[in-house]
Amino acid sequence: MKHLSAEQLSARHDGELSGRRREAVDRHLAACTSCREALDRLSAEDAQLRPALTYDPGAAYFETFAARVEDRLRAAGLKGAQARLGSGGPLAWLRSPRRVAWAGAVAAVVAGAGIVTLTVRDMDRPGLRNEWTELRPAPSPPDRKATAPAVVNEKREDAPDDLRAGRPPARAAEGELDRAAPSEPEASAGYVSSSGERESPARSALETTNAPEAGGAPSPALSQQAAPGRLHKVRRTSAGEEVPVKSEEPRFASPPAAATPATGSPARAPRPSGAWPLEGHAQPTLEGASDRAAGARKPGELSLCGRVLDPAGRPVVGAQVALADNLRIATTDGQGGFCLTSPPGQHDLTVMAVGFYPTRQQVRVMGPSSETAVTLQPVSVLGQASGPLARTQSEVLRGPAQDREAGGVPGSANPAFSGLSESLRAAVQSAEQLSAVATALRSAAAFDGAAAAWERVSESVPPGPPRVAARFALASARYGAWVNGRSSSRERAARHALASFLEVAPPGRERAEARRWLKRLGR
Amino acid sequence: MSGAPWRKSMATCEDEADLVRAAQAGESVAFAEIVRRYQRGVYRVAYGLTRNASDADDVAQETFVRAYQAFGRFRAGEPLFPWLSRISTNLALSLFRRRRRRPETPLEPLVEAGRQWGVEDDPAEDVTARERARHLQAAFADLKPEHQVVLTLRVVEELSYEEIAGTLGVPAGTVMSRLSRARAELRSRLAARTGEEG
Repeated sequence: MKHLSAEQLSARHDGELSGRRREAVDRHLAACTSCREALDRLSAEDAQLRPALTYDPGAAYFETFAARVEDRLRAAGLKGAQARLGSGGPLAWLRSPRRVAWAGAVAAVVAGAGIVTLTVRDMDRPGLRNEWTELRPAPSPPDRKATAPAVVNEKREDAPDDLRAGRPPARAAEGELDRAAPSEPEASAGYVSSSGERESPARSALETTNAPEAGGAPSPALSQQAAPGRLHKVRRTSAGEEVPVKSEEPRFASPPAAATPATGSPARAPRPSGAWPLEGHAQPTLEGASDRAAGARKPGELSLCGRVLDPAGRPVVGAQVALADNLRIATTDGQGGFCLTSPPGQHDLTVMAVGFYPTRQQVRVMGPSSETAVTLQPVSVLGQASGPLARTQSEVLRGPAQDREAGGVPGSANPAFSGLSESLRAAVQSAEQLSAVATALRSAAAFDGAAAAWERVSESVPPGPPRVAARFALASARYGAWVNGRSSSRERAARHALASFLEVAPPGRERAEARRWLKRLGR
Repeated sequence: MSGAPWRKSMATCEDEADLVRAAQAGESVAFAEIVRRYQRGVYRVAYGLTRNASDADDVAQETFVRAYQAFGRFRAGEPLFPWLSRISTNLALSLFRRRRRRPETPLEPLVEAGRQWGVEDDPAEDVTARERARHLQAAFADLKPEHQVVLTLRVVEELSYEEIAGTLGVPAGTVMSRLSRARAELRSRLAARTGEEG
């Protein structure tokens, strides 16, 4: 009696035999102990192999997965995915030892407001993304058609292959691996082949994050790449010049020794507007000085220089300074100084740094150079008693007049989040930052970004006060997006977020507020 | 492992086709749903082929990025998962090839990875079983890439031969013979390892 072949056993084991072939095999099995044993062995082997090849990263991983995919899509400069998927995943690149910088959902801010609100923090924060950020015009689709035709080498062992080699692949749908046709790079960047070495594509799949632009956004797109080789950050100025953003230096205030506050008479620098809620507690210090103009300026442009200080007068290094209305951006140097050029006139200057609330003030640029100083209010450690971020946001929604009376310590985070794990707290913190940025910019896109961050947070935090707080923050970000840029999708999102908050909300001010917002949406 | 989760959605194939069409029309909510629906399956394939949580994460995410980019050309009504797992497979293989040019990075210790995600290490797992799993992983890593692929798709993801064929773009008969060879190969490599080291 001829025993079953390995292939027959394997197929029988997989339940892939049918009809007469199966009957024949089963007849043999009934009569042959050794083949039955071989079949059993296959089951045992599979059972052992399965756990060796399986790993469950846990529910939290998958909760934030879509958001991280969307981050990558955004990084690739693709339009269309930003609306709902979320952004900036706190769980990505966890293992990476590299220095951490976050800019995740800030992409939305950039898209909406047209300014860089990139914050860089040079410390290891295991819960945050590690990435390479670049502000540059949307990449034009690289010509990759010629990259490499799929070469399939299927000779050595699969006899049926040879017999059927003339046939088209079982399914030659687009994006799939065609056996002979050149493949589109996006979908099949690698090629299945029986010999790993012989095929041609030298381009490795994971190295080409920067995919061809689907929609061709005309505005500068913030592209974040998980490019392992690029450890530095690069910013592209509006003039198209690439400016490396150093991340070796501390991003926070330097020791007091370095602090020599700018001196001079308050001359050309204007008064702070005072209308911005986040700076309501300490008016920005404005110190006029001159002769610090630097940098090449365009004809007709003037230079505006200044320093960014913390409340103790120490320079804030690496703060992002932007003139929102004309896309001028600078990063403060080791002394907290910055210079940018601008057409004369009155502009809104926005300053942002991680660890501080974003600040916006009006500056008047006139004369050959203007100088200003900005004092940032630190975001204090999470877990303090008052002033949840959500309120900051609602303050803005109520309008500047009430902001000043709102009081509260800026930056004290919602105590509801104090018991969370470190990575979640980091996620909360970045979401808070984004909300603050959005609030400062009053940009619908920035609120979208913040909402995306809150969405992730609210999916990940445990039930109870943290979830309630996260849902409220999410709802207010969604509502803020709608207020600042009405659209039916934002209305839907806001309605949904408010409803989810109200599901869990205890009675109180926030609940009342949410109800009010919901009513306003209805109008 | 009872039936891969994505099969459930195969049952509601209409639903999936609608989802695909909505995503193709630019509804990012629909694409997000696709991601959520298949993230686990794609991750399993990615992990099976990389056996490293970090690489699996990278491959799994990148799979959806590629899918998104090529989505306009996907035919609604076709099963989505084989298409996704093809992308995953290609990405994992290209990573594999890149790695082979460079010194092999050690396998990430599973225990550590588990802790990272807050997953408790199983105290009941005894040392010999772990040892055997290590040998098995090493033997599997020795296999040719296409053998790793068929085994992963079959054993981990429990795809049918036809689905594997669709994923790889090869005839079902090839899948059958390749799987059989892959199993034999794995068996002999494992025996060689345990014979040498055990």
